[in-house]
Amino acid sequence: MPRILVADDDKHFLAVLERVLAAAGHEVHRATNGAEALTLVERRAFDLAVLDVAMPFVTGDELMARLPASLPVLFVSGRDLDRLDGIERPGLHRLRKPIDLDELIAAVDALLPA
Amino acid sequence: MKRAESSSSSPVAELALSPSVALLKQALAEKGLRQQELANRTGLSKDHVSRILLGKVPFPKSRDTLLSLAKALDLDPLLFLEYRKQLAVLPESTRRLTAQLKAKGISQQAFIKRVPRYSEGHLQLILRGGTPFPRDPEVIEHFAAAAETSPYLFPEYLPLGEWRDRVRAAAALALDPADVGVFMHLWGKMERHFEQLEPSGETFEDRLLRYMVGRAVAPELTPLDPEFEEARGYLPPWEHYQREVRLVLERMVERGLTVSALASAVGGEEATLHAIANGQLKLKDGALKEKLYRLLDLTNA
Repeated sequence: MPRILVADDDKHFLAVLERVLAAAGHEVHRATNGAEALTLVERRAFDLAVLDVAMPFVTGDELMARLPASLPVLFVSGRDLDRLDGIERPGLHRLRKPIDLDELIAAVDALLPA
Repeated sequence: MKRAESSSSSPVAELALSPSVALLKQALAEKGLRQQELANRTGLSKDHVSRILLGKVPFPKSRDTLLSLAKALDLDPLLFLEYRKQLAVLPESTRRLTAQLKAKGISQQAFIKRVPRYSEGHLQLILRGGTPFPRDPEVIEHFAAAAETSPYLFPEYLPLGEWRDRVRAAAALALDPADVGVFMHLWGKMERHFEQLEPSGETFEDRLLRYMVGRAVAPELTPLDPEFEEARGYLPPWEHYQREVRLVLERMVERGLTVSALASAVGGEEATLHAIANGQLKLKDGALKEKLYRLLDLTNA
């Protein structure tokens, strides 16, 4: 079962992501801020990280810089996505809020290793 | 030994005295107390008491002395002009706290006992205005509970900006994952602040949504509010909201509904509705949208 790290400081949105991704057959690990996400990453390997950009303590872009280069990252954020302009990385994808959950599932499926 | 009333100076001389001197003399006479007894009860020297009554020294201004004089004579300290002046320089929240305690019939000693995790000396200092009123929201919550009131009675307890600054300050240190526990504690406190029901029965999030909609559709009726303007940064700009969601939010606010109430009415998952209201999720065609539209008398046109 693919293991996905989901980090967002909006707990309602996080709950929705967790429910939808779990229903799609993924093992979901949630973090409510970048520091917590960093701790999770240090403890186990993930197949995909779904991250907000503006998070407390460690922001999504700061977190990405500390993730293994091979880990695909899907950023799901609002206007803060603009902060990522110019950043390139293999397996990097962006979705702008408000999102359509079907688009999220499609992006997740596309990013997960076959 | 001389009786207190026998120490009165001439009526002409009394004109220059503090009105508190006359009050003191009257109370001494009514209680049949001598100057020595008053000195014993207050810790002042008999000579000093005598000089106060003769107007040879200014009437005491120290809060402690005024309180001990009032206690010794079973008087309300507010009768002393000097004490009222002292109160006028108390921090606003300290004044509100003392007024609340008085209104609830809670003695300061009882209040101190209700807040056992703080030293008695420090609490007395706060109550006397000897130190600024606390700014830590957790301390204010303890004080409010002990005084049987809402923490929002105290102006310091609107700590949104303060919380943000604290979180940012903590973020600057967030390089060591071992500190995550501390950060989570801070973050949890901030979340509880956002979710705490305020006296109006709404959460901060409800008020923020109402403000955002008000600013968008009726700015003339919704004056700018610095606190909400700052918090608006946590939500997308109104024009970035999906049109359908804007309609739902406008109607929700118009009808005085909260997100939780709306979720309960449509039997939808509350987290989903919050995420939609906060501009995170689109409202797609389907059962939830139909229920919301029906409930709020909206049409697809």
